[in-house]
Amino acid sequence: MTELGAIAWALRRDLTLAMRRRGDILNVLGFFVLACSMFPLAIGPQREWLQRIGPGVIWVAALLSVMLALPRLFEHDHADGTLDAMVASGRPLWALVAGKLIAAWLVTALPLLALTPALALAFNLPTSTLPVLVGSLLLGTPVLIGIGAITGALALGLKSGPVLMTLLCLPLYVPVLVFGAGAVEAQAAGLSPLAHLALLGAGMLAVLLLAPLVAALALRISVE
Amino acid sequence: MSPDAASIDPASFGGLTASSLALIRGERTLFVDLSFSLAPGELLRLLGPNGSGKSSLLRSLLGLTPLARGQLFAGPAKSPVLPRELCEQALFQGHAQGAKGELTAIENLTLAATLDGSLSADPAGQTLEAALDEVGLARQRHIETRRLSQGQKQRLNLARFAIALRATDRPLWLMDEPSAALDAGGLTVLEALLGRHLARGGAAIIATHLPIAPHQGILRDLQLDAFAPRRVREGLAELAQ
Repeated sequence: MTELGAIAWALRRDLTLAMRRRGDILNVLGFFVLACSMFPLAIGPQREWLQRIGPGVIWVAALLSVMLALPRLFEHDHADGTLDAMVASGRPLWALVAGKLIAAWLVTALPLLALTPALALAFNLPTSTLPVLVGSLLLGTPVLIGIGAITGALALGLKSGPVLMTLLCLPLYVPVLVFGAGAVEAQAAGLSPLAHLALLGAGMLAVLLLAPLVAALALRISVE
Repeated sequence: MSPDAASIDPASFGGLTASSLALIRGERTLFVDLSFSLAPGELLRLLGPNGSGKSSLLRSLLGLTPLARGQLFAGPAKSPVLPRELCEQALFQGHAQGAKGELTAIENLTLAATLDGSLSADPAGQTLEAALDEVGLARQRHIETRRLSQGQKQRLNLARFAIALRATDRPLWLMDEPSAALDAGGLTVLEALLGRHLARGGAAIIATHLPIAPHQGILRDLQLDAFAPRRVREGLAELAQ
């Protein structure tokens, strides 16, 4: 089995599992929609206000939704022994992790992206900002999942794992949120969002390269 | 009738030698100065009371748990190997079931055998069906694994080893309590699989409480509590009383 074979194996496996647990996907999506739609209700229907807070709210909701799904990334596999089997198989662990991360992105982040235009409409965001909003999420969500995978792998099997994971994740998520929401703000203000998007893109490339390797290292420590 | 197992070339697999292994978990030393040698065609049974380090020894041979000290030698020239390098030659069954409850028996088996690399060749579907038939799960193949009994799950693990008999790249089998929850019929299947594996020139290490004895191959026992440091040994003796 080559590296590519290992990536494909883990990707197919996790997608099949996700299809068997559709409730988990709906749970994340439901949380995203609910969190976003609560704000207009709480704040009132003033157009300018909604337009002003819209990008930030959608970004925060997306971030929290991803965090909601992340603890499950390795936890089930750790509990039922399949993670041990993956490590003991002698296959490149980073490739197996990479496959799992791609699957996680397809299952959690992609549906969020698909729903974003509808939510942008609810906040009365100008259509010119929509591509930037979706684009920033497209670049930012892999970073969220990659960082979450590393912290999740580190905190795996610990009694206070989820708490630790949240604490480790949040500071690392701040820049992603700032640049993601900032890109949309800039576009709405008539400025170029390119600088923000470029930084997000750089972050995404770094995470794509490093997250599978670092998470694999952390998993080896966690299965001990 | 099961097909013949693919025989393992003794020139490529020279068994496994471990020399003065020591394992420390947390503050507890499980064993020190443990050495053994395993030749092709041999089955090493790890014996000892609960907590004597049988599972930990199996895991440490694959680098899942780090050894405090010691050296492993493998290959035809008995060259030093790292536990992690041993993974590629070994087929490991841990004490957790290692199957996904949401997937059917045949889906789990397909995933496991693909990861092992023993399912690459010819009509894969037939191989899977034959293996499930061999362990007595032919009728449960499309049932979700979480609905299977503990014994049936253990039989599903055995099916993975039945498939591995067709491939030669993992000559070393490591099984943690393979007889757990198995009935008499399951035990016969386990012993038959082990026997065929030993007869084809493979080797196996199993942690067990039952006197598992395949008809082929050479049986050797390793009493783990004999290698515990003195204070632990006294504690284990107290436990046994």
